[in-house]
Amino acid sequence: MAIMTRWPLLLVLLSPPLARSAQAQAEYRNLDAGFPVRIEDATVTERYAFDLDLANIRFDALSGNRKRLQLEPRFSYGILPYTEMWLRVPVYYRESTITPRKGIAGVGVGGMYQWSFESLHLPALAFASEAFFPTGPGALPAAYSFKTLFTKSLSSTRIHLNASLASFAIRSAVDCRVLPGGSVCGGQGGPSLPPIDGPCTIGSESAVPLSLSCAAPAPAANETELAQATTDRLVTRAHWLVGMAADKTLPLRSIVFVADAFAERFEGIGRRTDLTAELGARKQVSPGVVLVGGVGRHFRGANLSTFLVLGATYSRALQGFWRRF
Amino acid sequence: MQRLFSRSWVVASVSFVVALGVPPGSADAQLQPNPQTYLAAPYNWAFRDRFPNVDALFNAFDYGHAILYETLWRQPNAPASVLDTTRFQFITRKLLRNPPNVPLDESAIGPNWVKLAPEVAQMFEWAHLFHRQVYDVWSDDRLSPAQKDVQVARLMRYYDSRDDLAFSSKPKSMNLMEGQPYSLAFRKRFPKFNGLIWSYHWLQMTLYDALLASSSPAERKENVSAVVARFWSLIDSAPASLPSVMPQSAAIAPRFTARYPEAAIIFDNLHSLHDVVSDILADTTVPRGAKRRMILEAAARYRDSTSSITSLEEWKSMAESMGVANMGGVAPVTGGNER
Repeated sequence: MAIMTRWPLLLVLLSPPLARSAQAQAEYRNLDAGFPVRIEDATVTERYAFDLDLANIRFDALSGNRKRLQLEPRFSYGILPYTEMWLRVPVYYRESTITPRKGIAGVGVGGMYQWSFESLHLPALAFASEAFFPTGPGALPAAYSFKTLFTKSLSSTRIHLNASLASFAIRSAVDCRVLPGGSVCGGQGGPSLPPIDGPCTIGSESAVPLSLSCAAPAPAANETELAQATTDRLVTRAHWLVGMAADKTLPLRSIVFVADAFAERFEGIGRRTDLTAELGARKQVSPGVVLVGGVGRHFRGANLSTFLVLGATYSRALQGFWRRF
Repeated sequence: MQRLFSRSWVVASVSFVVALGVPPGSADAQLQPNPQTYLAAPYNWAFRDRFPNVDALFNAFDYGHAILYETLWRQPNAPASVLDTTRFQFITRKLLRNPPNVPLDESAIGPNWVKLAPEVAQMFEWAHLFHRQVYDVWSDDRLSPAQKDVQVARLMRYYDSRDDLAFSSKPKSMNLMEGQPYSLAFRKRFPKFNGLIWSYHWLQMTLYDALLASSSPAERKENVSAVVARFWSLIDSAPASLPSVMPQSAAIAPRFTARYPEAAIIFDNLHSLHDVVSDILADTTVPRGAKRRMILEAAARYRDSTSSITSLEEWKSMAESMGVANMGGVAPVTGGNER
């Protein structure tokens, strides 16, 4: 149990990925998860469009004056009709009391399929899925997600609904015991888990010390402890998320403002449902560049934080790998 | 363990039930043409780089088309003043004078129009991409005329690769535009805004002749300035100076038509369908519930290369017989065709 208390859960969680435009040269209205808000629209990258997100940074301010940075380079491509694929590589940088302090959390590979476009009466509908492969010493097994996205346009706004279900792997040697019929977690509320998409999350994905708990950082683990942890039993749990966003576009200025709220839960670890609200904007500054900015507050659950997101997306056409015109 | 997953499965189940409740084969929710981006090439954005002010005008043109359809759909009984006064003044006095520097998202301007006929909205978008890429080719000074021809041919292949979006490159009978029960409805109700749209089409086509007629960057700049100046004269003296018949490529852009007849026909068909959609939306005798079907039927006729076809000669003679002066005039450019 000592190990359990010192080593919080290792979490692998899927961040809902990219979606891009149905418009050839106007990308700013295509909301991508995390850029700037978590809830996105039900639109895939148009065919042969290649999007690069190379400068997307999230800054988190947590309790105890702890600050963290996350950089998430992403590439997406409209590879088939109605279908996009993406690759993302989250990189983290955290407070000095945690070891390792920086690194690559893993590699995510996913895709989204446009099931139907929006009509007068029905919303647009898309499905997305991703596999995330943690990296680093003692990396956990891959995690998988499935997501459903809806978008309904009204005269002056759009409404987006997202619902996702994902798996995440943990080492059972923490506060929870996996028993027939469910898990039993010790302590009030069980161990803390980091916020989704935050530096905590990506850090804990990669077999780093359990002290990565954002709520109460513990001294860095040594090699022996790490080795011990990596031999613990792995269990897979579920994570779900539901959320809604509304956006407002100023079409002649090519800017969209968006607000969202979402609830998510990590099942089986005795943690309360997390709630987060965000505000953001996307601005098309040239035919190939969109600037992104947003703020958010994770106001219920564990590891409450205030965060800032800044980034830019570069888009261009790309044909010729397998088909020439 | 199952209890731990129960909430998750509720969420997932709700998602799936809602998703499966959408019949993908129904007319309302069927999978529509897949959006596709432009053709990647070294000349991308060459026109924007060399003629940013004209490129910005085209961004403003996108607003005109989208707001027109959105207004006609949302306000089917709108008085003439809505478009011919309020919108017209906003566009000609503000928007065109300070046009946006990036392409606009038409679904943000006309969300209900795009939802009504997304297939046709995508046809327009696909043709507009073709339009702009041909400008890019002819604005790139690194390319010789022969290389430009090769690149335009490549653009044609790329455009035609989407037969679900591409307009026919065969000249269509004017009957499709002017011989239908709904024909002329828009220009009768909103003559001023109709003239504005035609002035857009005039500039879009004469600009090709300005680019083609030039043998040097300096001459190209002069010719582009000349057609833009003529465009402003059409706008500034509106409505008297606005085109009173639909500008047709063979009459107003003879150089471009001679060099790329198929492309010129495609753009004429594009502009014709713009008018047809306006007519269907403006015609109050067309039931609201039938408008989508009629728009899709009209669009299909403009994609089809087997019906309502006229000969190349008839197409050219028809354009000339309608009077080039009524279309805004022939492109005011100097110089011969670049060889």
